Amino acid sequence: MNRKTAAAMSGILALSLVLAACGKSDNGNTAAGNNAANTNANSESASNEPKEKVPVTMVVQYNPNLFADLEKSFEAKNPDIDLQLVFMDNAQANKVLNSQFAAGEGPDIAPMNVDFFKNGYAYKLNDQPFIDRLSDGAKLATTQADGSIFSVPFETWFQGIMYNKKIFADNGIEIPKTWDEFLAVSAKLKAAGIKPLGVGDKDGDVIGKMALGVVLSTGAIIEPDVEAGKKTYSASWKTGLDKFYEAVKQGIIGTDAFGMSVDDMVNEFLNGKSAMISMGSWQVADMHKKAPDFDFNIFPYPSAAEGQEQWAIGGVAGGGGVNAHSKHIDEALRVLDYIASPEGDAQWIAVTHGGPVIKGTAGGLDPSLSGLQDTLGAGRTYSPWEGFKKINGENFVRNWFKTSQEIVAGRKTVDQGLKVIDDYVAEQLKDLQ
Amino acid sequence: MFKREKIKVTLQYELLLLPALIGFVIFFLYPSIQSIFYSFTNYSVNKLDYSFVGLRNYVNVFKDEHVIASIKNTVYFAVCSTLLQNVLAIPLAVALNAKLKTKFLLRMVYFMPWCFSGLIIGFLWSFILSSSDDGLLNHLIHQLGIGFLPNNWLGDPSLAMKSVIFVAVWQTTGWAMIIYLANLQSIPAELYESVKIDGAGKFQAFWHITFKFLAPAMTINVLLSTIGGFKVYDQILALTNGGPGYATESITFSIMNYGFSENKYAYASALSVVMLVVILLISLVQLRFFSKREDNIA
Repeated sequence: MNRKTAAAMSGILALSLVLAACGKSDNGNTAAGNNAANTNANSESASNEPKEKVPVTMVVQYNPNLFADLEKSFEAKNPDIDLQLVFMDNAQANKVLNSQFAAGEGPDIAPMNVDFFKNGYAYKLNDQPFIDRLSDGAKLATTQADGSIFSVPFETWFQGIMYNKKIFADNGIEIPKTWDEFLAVSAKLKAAGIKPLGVGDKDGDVIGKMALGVVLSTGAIIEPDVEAGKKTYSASWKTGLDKFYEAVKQGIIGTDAFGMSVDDMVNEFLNGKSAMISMGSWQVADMHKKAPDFDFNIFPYPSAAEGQEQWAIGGVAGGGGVNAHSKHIDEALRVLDYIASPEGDAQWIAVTHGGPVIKGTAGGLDPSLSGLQDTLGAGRTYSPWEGFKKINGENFVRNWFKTSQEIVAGRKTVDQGLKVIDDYVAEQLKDLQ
Repeated sequence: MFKREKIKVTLQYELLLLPALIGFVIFFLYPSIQSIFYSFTNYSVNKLDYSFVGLRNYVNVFKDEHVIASIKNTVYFAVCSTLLQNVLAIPLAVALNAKLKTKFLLRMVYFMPWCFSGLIIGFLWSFILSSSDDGLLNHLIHQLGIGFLPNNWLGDPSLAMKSVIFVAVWQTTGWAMIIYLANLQSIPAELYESVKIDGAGKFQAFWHITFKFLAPAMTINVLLSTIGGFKVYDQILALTNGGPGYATESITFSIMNYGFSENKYAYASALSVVMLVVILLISLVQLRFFSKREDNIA
């Protein structure tokens, strides 16, 4: 054998060893079971070895460490599954998941939207037993126009205006019920040298949602009519928005908000540097953790005019669906089955401080959210972008947040901003035809 | 016999090119051709069975006020960051080419920011530039009693893009400096001696020798920073998320939004093709201009 032949032979041998090793690692779990030539002794020894756990990755938009109890209880009942919770920022989740799903990858369980479903990324959940456990409201909100269900909510979420109880008490301030009263309260706090409203609007969502909270008092649940071409935002939101943006003229809300993140805003509030923030149930766990002695409560968004009902922004969004290209669909469904049970739902909302979505779930409202008890009880909670059944609500609201920032910055009037939103919806509906 | 040997050698070299060529075809050429193809269709999440629409997407791109804004922002970013980066990097390289005891340490310090991802640098600076009371820069400004300076660095629409450019220049100047430094070390010392004998001062020596002979490094730096400027995404994402409103959205931002948020694949493809053509044209013009400058040295 000359040197060239020896080198070639050793190369082939090395390659075959690598391939054999790869093959073994890929098929290791199933080869023993499928190979008829295996001896009984070998089969017995294989069955005595602890089975490898199936990893199921699930995207959450909270600190994953907060769900340690839920993970523990689930894995106690499902010892063959390793539930791995992964944090994903809400502002980027849509883009990140879309690119992952398009590549045939991505987490096993993730927040899903109608576009993901149309693209075939989301597994249809209609036949799953846990769907019947959903409360009527949750089921209605998650069912698409064609009857499909591809996502299960884990909670209801809600938000209003959180206030520092000590600052309010020290300054003799009553909880405002109308937007004029809110502006008067803000002016009083400002005169006392206190920042009335902390706003971290880097992503546009804080001011954008706050504005919608005021708009809702004008009786503006119009999304089904907008999709049917019967109503426009220019006509329906104008009164509420004109009222809301008076806060900009009075210097309560300004462009300084765009240079601050939500974290900055919450930290300022917890340090007593601002009297109020517009925030919701999902922040409460972290807020208690950061400042356990901080005393705060919440009130619904003030109405645009006297005599109108006050609303909270909220809905049943969040939750998750199963990645249609997941290698562990059955295991992922078992995770959803657990969370969408009274036990799992109770554990979930104990962390998130949201409301239940499963019939028979025990649990009450966190004391610092008690100011919304009546509003929630009366069902006055809604988020317009969740009201869409045809167009993608998340994209709609992203456009609205951007437009709201332009109105605050004086680059657009309310009328121009509303035209942008109407044009956007019209274009989306046209694209569906 | 000689010819066969030559072919064999050529083949060996071309074989070495093959892995790169395969990568280029799979990861650039094929997706680019696909993008060009889709840009003439109406392919979107609602039209998975697409049809051809001619130039409609291209016409709409130039009618879309958000796209126009993102093109203006991108050009502003690319021009300003390229200019500033090079204007700062040349004197920095000259200074750190001098006989300083700390020159190696300083070179490392100035180069360090470039080693980090744009996203990390962006998040870091968003804490520094935050308009909250906890924002480091504003805190410092108030401590120094100069609170009258503009301090809504990322929130004021007329200031936000300038802040983004500042951060980008802060991060990339060290990298440009290293390229200039490498070029500086190849300039023969005799040239400086001869202009000194001719009576030239330091500035004249810089202008007639250093600046002139830095042409090759300048070609590379200007070209790469312009291309990088046109593709800017991560720093903007971390610093302003494209806001306030659309004030700092770049073309890449628009492509991501239309392609991956709104699932308008054909429209995003048309936008990508427009960006490709713009970058190609600007690069060609730059190459031509700077090559002439290099030829003049020769």
